[in-house]
Amino acid sequence: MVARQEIRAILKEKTFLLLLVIFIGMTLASTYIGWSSAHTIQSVYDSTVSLLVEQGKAVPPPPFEGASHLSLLKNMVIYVVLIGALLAITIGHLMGIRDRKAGVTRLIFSRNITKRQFLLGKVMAILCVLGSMLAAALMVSTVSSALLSGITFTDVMRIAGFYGFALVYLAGFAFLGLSFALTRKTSTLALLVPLIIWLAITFVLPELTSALSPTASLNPTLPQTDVLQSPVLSAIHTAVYPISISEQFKVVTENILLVPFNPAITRSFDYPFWLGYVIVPLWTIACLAGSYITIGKFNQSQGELNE
Amino acid sequence: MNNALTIARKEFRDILRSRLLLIMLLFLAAVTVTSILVSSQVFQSQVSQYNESLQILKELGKTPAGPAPELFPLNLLRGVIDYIEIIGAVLGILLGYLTISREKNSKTLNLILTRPVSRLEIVTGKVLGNGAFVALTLLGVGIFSYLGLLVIGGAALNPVELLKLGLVLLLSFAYIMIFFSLTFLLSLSMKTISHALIIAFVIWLAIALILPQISDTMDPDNQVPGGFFASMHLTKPEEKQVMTNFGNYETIRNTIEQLSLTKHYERASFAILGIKTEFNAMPLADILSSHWVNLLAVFGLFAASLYACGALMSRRRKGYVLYLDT
Repeated sequence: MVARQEIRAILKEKTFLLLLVIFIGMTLASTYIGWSSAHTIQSVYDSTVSLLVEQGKAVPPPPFEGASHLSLLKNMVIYVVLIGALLAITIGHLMGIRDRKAGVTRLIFSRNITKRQFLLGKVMAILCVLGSMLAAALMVSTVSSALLSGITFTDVMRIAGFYGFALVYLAGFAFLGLSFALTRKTSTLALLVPLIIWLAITFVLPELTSALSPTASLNPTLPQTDVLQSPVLSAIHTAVYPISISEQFKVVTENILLVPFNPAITRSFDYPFWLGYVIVPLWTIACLAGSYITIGKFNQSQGELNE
Repeated sequence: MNNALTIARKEFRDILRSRLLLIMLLFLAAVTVTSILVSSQVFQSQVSQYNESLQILKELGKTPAGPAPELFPLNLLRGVIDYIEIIGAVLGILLGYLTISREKNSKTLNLILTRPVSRLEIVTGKVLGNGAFVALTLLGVGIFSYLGLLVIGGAALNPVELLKLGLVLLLSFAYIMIFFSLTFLLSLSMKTISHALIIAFVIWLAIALILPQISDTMDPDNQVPGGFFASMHLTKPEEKQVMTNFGNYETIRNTIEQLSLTKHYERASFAILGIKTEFNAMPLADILSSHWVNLLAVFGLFAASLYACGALMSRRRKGYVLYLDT
């Protein structure tokens, strides 16, 4: 009942719909951008080869050899980390704050409903909304990839696997938004704290672990960095890399989409690529546990916001 | 003007009391130090790599082909500029939102308007109060950067470098205040104020992250780690010769980049700080004149956004709807 009500309410939210349109629009654009840049780089390579042959120089092999046609979707990995995570925080925030702003928490809990049922309803609604959103993105990516490069059934399964894993990653951010929306005294603070955590996960941790400048981590092809030469950076990398959630997400999804392994970062200690398959779900479980603890402490008689 | 200063003082006090902004400030300080630490470690590792190569060459009786890595201290601030692009803009958005939401939630804006205070004085006061806070924050970033470079990077800035740092902070002030004005305008003109905040974030997402991301991804040189042209062993003139065949593609890519205010800010800042290495040897006046378009874009938009704030407030009597209540 709670979940149904939440889904109905979020579909009426203009802000959510705006972010959803942007996300789906960028999903469509990402395939085209991927196709266009792959097409151009091939032509640039051909021109380079002509020039080198003209000069009688040796021609190096194409550096992007072996890339699968699913590489067209590599931008989507970045859009999930950027737009998808913001959208997830917004969904969790809106679902947590709406009842408090409307001043109906006391009324809800005067009915035959426990706090845990209330949370379960919200969690189900979050998963349902995120799942539908990613299912729509899956359809857009599959159709656009099929039109631009031709794909097999296995490719479709890989795209589905990518969006499935994205659901796990994004659910963590949505639960984070929900937890703060249920506890903070002002709605601004409730939105800002998850946003700062998102900024730290997306930009600060990759800088610490891989010496990447914040904007460089927006590019699906990372610039070359070498943390091995600096004992300090190497030690930080070894300690922080396992909890660098966005990097773990990128490694796993690039593996799912068969984007060639990016050997840009030289490390003193290579963690196995499958680490992300464990860390990302753990992150989501930790955020869900946070929501569970939050709802346990939630005071239904004082939980309303008077803004 | 006295009224405007009173409002400015009150704004400034309110901001200082807010825990929210304390969190933002601490975060900005932490990322500034982190960024300088990482950059200086990267530089030190380049120096040690060079020294090792030099030692090997000496043992082989050869002379090094390339010059030794030279430290330009301001280059270590690249990450700081990146963070101002992202987090500074968020700070501007929050200030713009809070300055109106405080008034709307407590319904004091209508009360102020019943007093002999003009609408322009209210806007001026709010811009001055918030502007003072942004300036103070950037001064903090400047001090953290200076001390970070001195303590972590082991480099003291000379007067010209200090001037360059000051200019970049001034540019950063204009950049952050554009986001402040944008959210101020949205918060005043939208019926549900929380929607104004989220729409401001959507605009920020597009300007600061999506457009630069698209143009970077479209850059052929960015398709390969370490650069496509470097992997093909092409010189700069040869690279230009190849790219002459892709004029239209480059025009589209450049246009996308030009649409982003953040890219204008970044281009100008990177040039002034010498993060683009070709500008290290150039006099400051030449750097500024070569980037006048980027400077004009940032300062021009800053002036236009301030004008729009004043115009929106004073046009209410001419039929423009302002939602003064939540």
